[in-house]
Amino acid sequence: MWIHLGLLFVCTWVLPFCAGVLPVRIMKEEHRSFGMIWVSGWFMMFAMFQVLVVPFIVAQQSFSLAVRTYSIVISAISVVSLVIGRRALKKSMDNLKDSRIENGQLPVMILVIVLIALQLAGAFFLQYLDGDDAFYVATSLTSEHMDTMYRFTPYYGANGELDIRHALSPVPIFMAWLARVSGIHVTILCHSYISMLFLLLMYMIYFQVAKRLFPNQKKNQWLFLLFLSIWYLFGNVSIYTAESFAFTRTWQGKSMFPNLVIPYLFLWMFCMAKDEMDIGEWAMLFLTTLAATFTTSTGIFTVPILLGTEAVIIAVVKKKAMVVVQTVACLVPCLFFGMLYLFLK
Amino acid sequence: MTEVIQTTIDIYKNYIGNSMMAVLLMAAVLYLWVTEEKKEIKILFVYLTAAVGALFFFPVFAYIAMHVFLDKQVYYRIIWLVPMGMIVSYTFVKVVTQIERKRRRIVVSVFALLFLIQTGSLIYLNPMVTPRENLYHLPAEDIAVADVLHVDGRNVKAVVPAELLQFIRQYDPSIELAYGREALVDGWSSNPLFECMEANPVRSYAITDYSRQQGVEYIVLRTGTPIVGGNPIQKYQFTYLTTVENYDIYIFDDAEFAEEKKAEYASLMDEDWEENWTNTH
Repeated sequence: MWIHLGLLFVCTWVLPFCAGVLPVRIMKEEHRSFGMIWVSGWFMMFAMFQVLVVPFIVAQQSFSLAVRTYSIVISAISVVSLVIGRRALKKSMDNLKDSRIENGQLPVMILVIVLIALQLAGAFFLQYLDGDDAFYVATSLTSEHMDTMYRFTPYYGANGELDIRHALSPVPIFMAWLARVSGIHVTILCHSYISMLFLLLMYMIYFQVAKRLFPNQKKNQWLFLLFLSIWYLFGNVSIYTAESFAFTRTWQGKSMFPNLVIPYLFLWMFCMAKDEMDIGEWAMLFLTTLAATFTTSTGIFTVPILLGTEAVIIAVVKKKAMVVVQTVACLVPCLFFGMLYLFLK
Repeated sequence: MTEVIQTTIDIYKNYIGNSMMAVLLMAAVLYLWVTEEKKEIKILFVYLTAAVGALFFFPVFAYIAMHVFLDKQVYYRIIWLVPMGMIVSYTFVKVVTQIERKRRRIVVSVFALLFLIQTGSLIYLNPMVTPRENLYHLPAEDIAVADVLHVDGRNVKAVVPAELLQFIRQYDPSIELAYGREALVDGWSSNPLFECMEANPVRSYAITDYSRQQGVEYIVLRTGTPIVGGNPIQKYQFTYLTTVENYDIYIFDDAEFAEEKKAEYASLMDEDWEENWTNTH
C-alpha cells in the first residue's frame, strides 16, 4: 500500500511542483511563491495532457500507449523545468522568509486553516452519490479495463463509436492515468483523494488571487479567504452552483472548470487589466485556456466569451487595442478544439 | 423568442434558488461601481460582471448558446463565468477594512458572516450527503453484489434493479449491464427488459426471455420481489445462486462459468430460500 501512496504522492505533489517551476521562473518576481509553483504545475499537467492525449483518443489508440507517452513526457518536462527554472525556488524561498505575520492576521489565518481542514475531512468521510459518476468514474474504469478511450459506453459497457462530445475534454482519462500509475482503484482515488486534493488546490488558487487583490495586506488576504470559504460552505443553494459542484463532484471536469479554471483565469485576467503581464503570465494564460478545454466542452466555448469580453473592455477603457490581439492568441486552444468539436461532431 | 426569455429566467431561478446570492452580488457590484478606485477591479468585477450578466439574459445570445454550442440543460454554466464568491468576498473585505474602530469591524464581520450563513445552505445539511460506507464512497450492497457477479479474466453481463445501475460499474467495469443509467432518465433510451424488471409483480417468462435474447448471464432481483407466471424463474434456465444484502442472484445455466459459480456458492445455499412466485396460469 505504501508504494501506491508513494507513487500517488509523486504524481500529485512532486510532478506538479517540478512542472510548475519553469513557468514561475519566467513570471514577474511578485508572482513567485511555492503555492504558485504548485498551482502552475497542475495547469501545466492538465494542458500537456490535453495536447498529448486527445490525438491518441481521436486516433483511437490504446489507453496504455497514451499512459506511457504522457508519463514519459510529463516526467521529462518536470525534470527540465526543475533544472532550468530552479532560480524560481530560491526567489520563492526568499519571499517565504521575508513574510511576516501582520497584527491580527493569526486568528483569521487559524480560522481559515481549520475551516479548510474540516472541508477536507468532510470530503474524505462523507459521500454524495452523484448520478453523473456513472459516466465519469465509469469512463475512467472502463478505459483502464478495456484499454480503450471513449469507445465503450460507460453506463453498461457496450462497444460503440467514439464519444466525441466527451473525448475532447479527457478528465476521466487523466484520472485513469493517475490510477494506472499509482495502482489505486479509480473510484477510491476520485472519491477519497482527489475530492480533498482539488479542494486544497482550489483554495490555493484563491490564495494566489487574494495576494493580487490585496498586495502586502496579509490580514486582508486571509479575511478574503475566510469569507470565501464560508461562501463556499453555504453555497449549496441549488444543485447547479459552482459551490455545490466543488463539494459533490470535485473530480469531474465540470466541477474543475468553475472552481479551478475560472479562478485561475481571473488571476491572469486581473493581471491583464492591471498591465502586469510578462511572458510567464501570458504563457500561463495560454496554458489556462488549454486547461479549460481539458476540463469540459463548456470551457471550449465559454472561455472565449469571458476572455474576449474582458479584452474588449480593456481595449475601450484603457485604449489598448493590442490586448485584443494578445488575447486572441491565448484563445487559440479554444478555437482549435472548438472547430475540432464541430468538425467531428 | 418569448420561450427563450422564459427558459433563461427559469434557468436563473433554478440556479439561485431561494438564496440571497444574486442580491449580495448586485449589492457588491453596485458598491464597487460607486466606491472602487482601482481600474482593474472595476474592469473585472463591475464591467465584466455586468457584460456577462447582460449576455446571459440577452435573448439572441441565449438562443444561439442553447442551440449551437451549449444546450438548454447546461446554459446555467454561463453563470459560472461570474465568480460570485470572489466578488462578494472582495467587497466584504473592502467594507470591513474601511471601518476604523476595531470593535465595530468585528461586529460587522460577524453580522455579514451570519447573514451569509442564514441565507445560504450548508452543503453538509444536504440530505444526499451521508457518512461514507467505504473508501469507494459507494453503497455497500452494490459492492457485495458485484463481488458475487465477478468472474476472473472475463466480462459478465447482468441485469440489476434500478438502484444498482449507477454504481455497480463504478466498482467493477468487467460487469456489463443490459441497460445502464440512461434507462432511468426519461427519453434517453428504452429497453423492454427495464420495464419488465421494474414491474410489480415481475413476470418470470418475460424477464428470462428478454435476458436470454440480450445475452444476460445474471439476473439480480430485490429479495421478496413478487414473481408471477406459469413457472418460477428457475424453470427458465436461470438458477438461483445466492442472496446478498437483500438481493437474489440468478445465474444463466448455459453461461460458461455457471457450473463453477454454482459449485462456489453451493455451500452457502439457504435451504429455506423460496422464490416469491405465484402461478397465474
